[in-house]
Amino acid sequence: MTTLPLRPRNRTTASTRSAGRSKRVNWAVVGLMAPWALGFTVFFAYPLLANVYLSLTRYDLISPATYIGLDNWAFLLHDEALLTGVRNSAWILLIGVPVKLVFAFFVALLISRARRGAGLLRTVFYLPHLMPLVAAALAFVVLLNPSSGPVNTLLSSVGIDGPLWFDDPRWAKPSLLMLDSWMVGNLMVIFLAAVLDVPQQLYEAADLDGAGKLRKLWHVTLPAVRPVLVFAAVTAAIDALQYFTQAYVVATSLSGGATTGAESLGYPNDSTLFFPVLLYKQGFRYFNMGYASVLALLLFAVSFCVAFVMLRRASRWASDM
Amino acid sequence: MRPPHNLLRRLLLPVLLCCALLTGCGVAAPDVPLDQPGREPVTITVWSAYSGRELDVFNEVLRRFEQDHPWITVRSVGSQNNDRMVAALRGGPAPDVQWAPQSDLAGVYCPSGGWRDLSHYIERDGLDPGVFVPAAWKATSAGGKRCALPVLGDIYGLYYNKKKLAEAGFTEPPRTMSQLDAYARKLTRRDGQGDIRVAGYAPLTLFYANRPAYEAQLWGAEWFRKDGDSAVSTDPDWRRLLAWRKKLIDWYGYDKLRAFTAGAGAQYSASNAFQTGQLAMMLDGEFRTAFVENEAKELDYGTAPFPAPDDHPQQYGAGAWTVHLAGVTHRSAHPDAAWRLVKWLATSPKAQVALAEGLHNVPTTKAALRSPKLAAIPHFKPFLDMAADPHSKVPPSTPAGVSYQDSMAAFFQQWESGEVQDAGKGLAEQARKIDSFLDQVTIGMERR
Repeated sequence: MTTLPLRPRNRTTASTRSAGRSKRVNWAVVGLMAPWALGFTVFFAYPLLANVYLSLTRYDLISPATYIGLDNWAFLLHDEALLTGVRNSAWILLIGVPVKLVFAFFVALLISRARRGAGLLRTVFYLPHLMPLVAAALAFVVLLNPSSGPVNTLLSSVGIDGPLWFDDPRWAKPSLLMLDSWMVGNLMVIFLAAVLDVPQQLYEAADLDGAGKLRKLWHVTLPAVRPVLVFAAVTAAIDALQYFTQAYVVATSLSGGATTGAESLGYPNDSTLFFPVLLYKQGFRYFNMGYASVLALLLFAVSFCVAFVMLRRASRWASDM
Repeated sequence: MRPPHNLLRRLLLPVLLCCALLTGCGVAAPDVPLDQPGREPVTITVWSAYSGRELDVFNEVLRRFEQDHPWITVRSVGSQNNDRMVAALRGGPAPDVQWAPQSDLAGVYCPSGGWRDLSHYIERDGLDPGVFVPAAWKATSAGGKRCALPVLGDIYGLYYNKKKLAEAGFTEPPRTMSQLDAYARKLTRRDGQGDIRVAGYAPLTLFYANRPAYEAQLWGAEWFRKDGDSAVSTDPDWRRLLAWRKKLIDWYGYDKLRAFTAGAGAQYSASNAFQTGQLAMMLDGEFRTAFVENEAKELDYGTAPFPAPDDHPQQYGAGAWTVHLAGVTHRSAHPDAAWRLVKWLATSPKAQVALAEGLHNVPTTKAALRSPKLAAIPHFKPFLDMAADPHSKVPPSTPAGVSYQDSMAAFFQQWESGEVQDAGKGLAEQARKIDSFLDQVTIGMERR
């Protein structure tokens, strides 16, 4: 029984010591987390909260923001340009991203099989990615010029009447996709690394089972490179939702280039008016930053949902394989 | 690990909420006296979009201002675009004077208070608005505030290739829209496959200077009614404008004309289709004369007012304005000196003529428009006459910038391509769209 009083005393001492230690540990953790917390606050939390606040205001970028409640959100239901922006961005997301991924994967597969010159091919396919986006877009404007561009000149030499490319609303997005596909060097390189990393024994086992090339691709290569494919798909989807630079450069260079208005954005016939282009127009050309903030929040929510759905699907895909 | 969460709750969240609430708060204007009775030396800064040779011309004129106002030193900063100008009104280093090459911006700078209301100075100095051409003066106010003075402008008229017109048997440029149509057809040359090699006149929207903003002025079409609502569905001139364009575009063949414009050289380059002779007539501003002088000396061309609508012959002689504005920023620490510079640039004959001559732009005072020095510049006289014409107009300013013009530019393209078939229905939709958007942008403000 003499030991009994000691237990609570010991317990109290231990708990005090533990509290002291945890306090010390916590400050250390806070110190270590401080740079991240600062970056998170300045570059993510503050802009996000500011966006939420601005979405409830009328703000022309110059005078103080005025609270107007949910009127900016209500305008979403009446904004016809919004539908155009959503349609164009959906095209890039649902058609552009798969085409880019398949193309990059196909090129990576071809290079992985090359017996000679693989290094040269890798360099050749990767180089366009190093080109500044603006320069690449301008180069494609020249290449795809319907009258004097080398592409249509080549096509006409074999009797094909080339399209108007960027100047035709039906061809403007496919032309942008050609530009994007030309610049898939970054995706190609990570696909190539993943493909080369697949254990050779798996292919040998598949050979013994009599699997053909397609079966080996489906049952060996794809499952092995799945994490890389998921990463590429998610980043490409987010890029597609933020699609801006190419569309901006091509539209402004084709419709005069020196205009100070915003009418050229989306040229031709609003076929390149992607969601971020619309957001830019609203915020910085129409001085309607409150509504632009609504669009930005919408874009954030959609990007988050798309990434979430893709990751969920990818995990199901993994369990099915 | 609870304490860090508590810390987050106690410190971080209030900080974030404060940040969010602070966002969008404008930067307060310095509390400075509006008038400076003495002649204490001051230095003011002026921002403009000019660069290279044009900035040299501008700076040379500023030196003359300094000679006339020895107590004021002017620091000139060029290459400032609209985005930078707006950002400067919000925070960071702010100039005392901003020079904007777009009259549309008055709709933003005046009501927002980004540029100071100049009424006090105009009244104090007894500035007579009658010294300016009416369109230019009209462009300087919005939202009940006059925050700028007109300092120069661009006016759009017809450029025509004299040699090609003569070859087709024309001795004079067209004076009506039906003549323009007839001239365009006769001047057009196609190859064996029907592709356009030389276009008489290429009316596609967004090709070179073809913008609803200018064409509405040339057709006399009104953007807004007196009550502030869009007039695009009620003013019959819009339908006439659309019908005229469609008829000519269909004659060319939309795809053929689109192929021609897509292959034409860039607007601001030596390969501009008018300068290379591929385009016989076009709409453009007075500044093109300088491009031709530098890049296509051999071109035998003429300039004239743009043809008038057949049912508005009195319109002939008018041009379409874009006015350059100068204003005193609300953050200026020396508003009196800044005003003196703005007033001098806008009203001094030597400033107006020197700027117009050096930059190949039209002046905005009636006196400078009569300058023999400017009239002597080859091909420039018709633009001076257009600028002085009482029918010449400037597009209206709105708090939503040029959104109403963009909306119509997109509609024009749909109409020209055949995507929209019913002009009346399309215009009604545009009117609703323009009104709805302006209502949204001006919630809580007086628009009408």
